[in-house]
Amino acid sequence: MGIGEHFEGVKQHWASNFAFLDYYKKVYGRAEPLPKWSDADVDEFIASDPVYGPQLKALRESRKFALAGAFAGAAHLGGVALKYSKAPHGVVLATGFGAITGAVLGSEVAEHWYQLYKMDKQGANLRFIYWWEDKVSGPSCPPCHLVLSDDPVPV
Amino acid sequence: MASWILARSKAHPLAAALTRGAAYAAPPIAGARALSSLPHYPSAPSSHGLGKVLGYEPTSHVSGAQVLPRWFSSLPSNGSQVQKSRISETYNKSGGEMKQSDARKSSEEATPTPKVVAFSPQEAAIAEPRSSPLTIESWKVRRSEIATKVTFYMIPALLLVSKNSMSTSLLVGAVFHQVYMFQKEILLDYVHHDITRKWALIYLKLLVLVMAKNTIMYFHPF
Repeated sequence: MGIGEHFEGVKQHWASNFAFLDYYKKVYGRAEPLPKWSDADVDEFIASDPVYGPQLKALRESRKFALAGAFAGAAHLGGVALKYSKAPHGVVLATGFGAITGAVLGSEVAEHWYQLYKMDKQGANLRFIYWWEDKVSGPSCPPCHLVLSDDPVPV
Repeated sequence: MASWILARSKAHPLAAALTRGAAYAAPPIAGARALSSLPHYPSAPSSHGLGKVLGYEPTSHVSGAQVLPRWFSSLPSNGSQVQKSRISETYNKSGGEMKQSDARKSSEEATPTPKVVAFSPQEAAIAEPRSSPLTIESWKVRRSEIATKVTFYMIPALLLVSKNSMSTSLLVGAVFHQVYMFQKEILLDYVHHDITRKWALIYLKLLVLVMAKNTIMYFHPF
């Protein structure tokens, strides 16, 4: 009811606002880094998981949009700077700035093209990482080896 | 309109003659004849052009030269004051014509009365502020500075008060507005070519808008 409770509410509000940063703690804050995975492993996960597989596939496809946007932005703004300003350091800076802006806008286009706003992007990435962790360290755990069966049972 | 201009120009020296006749008791016949033959702007360099524009045909140059010394000798201080006011009026009008846009010129042509310069400081102070592209640009800059200052002080206030998504969105908008204005000042100072600067500012605005939207979405995913 007092001012202290108000500031406690503000503190909790900001804690929930910055909850999305926990994802980076789970991915990069490991005691020992995971071994490197390949595109074949990602494709295997996409084929095996019916819920997060399509989401991860769409997330990987959206990188092409970002790359195309980066090229378009760099070419356009760099071209404008090269044509009108003709300063070498200006052309370099304009190309870099155009690439960044183009990549962000390309990601925005992909967000609406694949409807990524309906998906849990961090959840899909985390699910793949957990799957990869279990797959890599699975055989080294004797009790898990005993429990695992050859036929997967859908939960 | 031309007849109205001619009537006004004829009435003006008659009124002046009557005023001077009543004030200083000059001979009425000689004063009236001299002032009626006097042109509107005798010694200004652009008087003929101005007369042609307004539709007023000045009389011959010789009669003006004849009348001028007598007028100056009869009323030295008052005559010089009137002469100075007429010269300054001519210069202000010519300067205004150069600066005014076409719309203002056409609107001025619609009203045939010549612009009278205010004599007293109070009248000059009461006069309405001028409207020109430069003052419009100045108002834009002033409004932008006010918005930047308001959003700057909005950030700590919302940081201490906000407990729902709407006020947090306002806070994110205020922060990114500061980022945008800061970067815009840098681009305005260091990018000198007009077209390059315009495109760079367009890219900056798009980038800041998308980043602000993404931050708002990350803060309260719904």
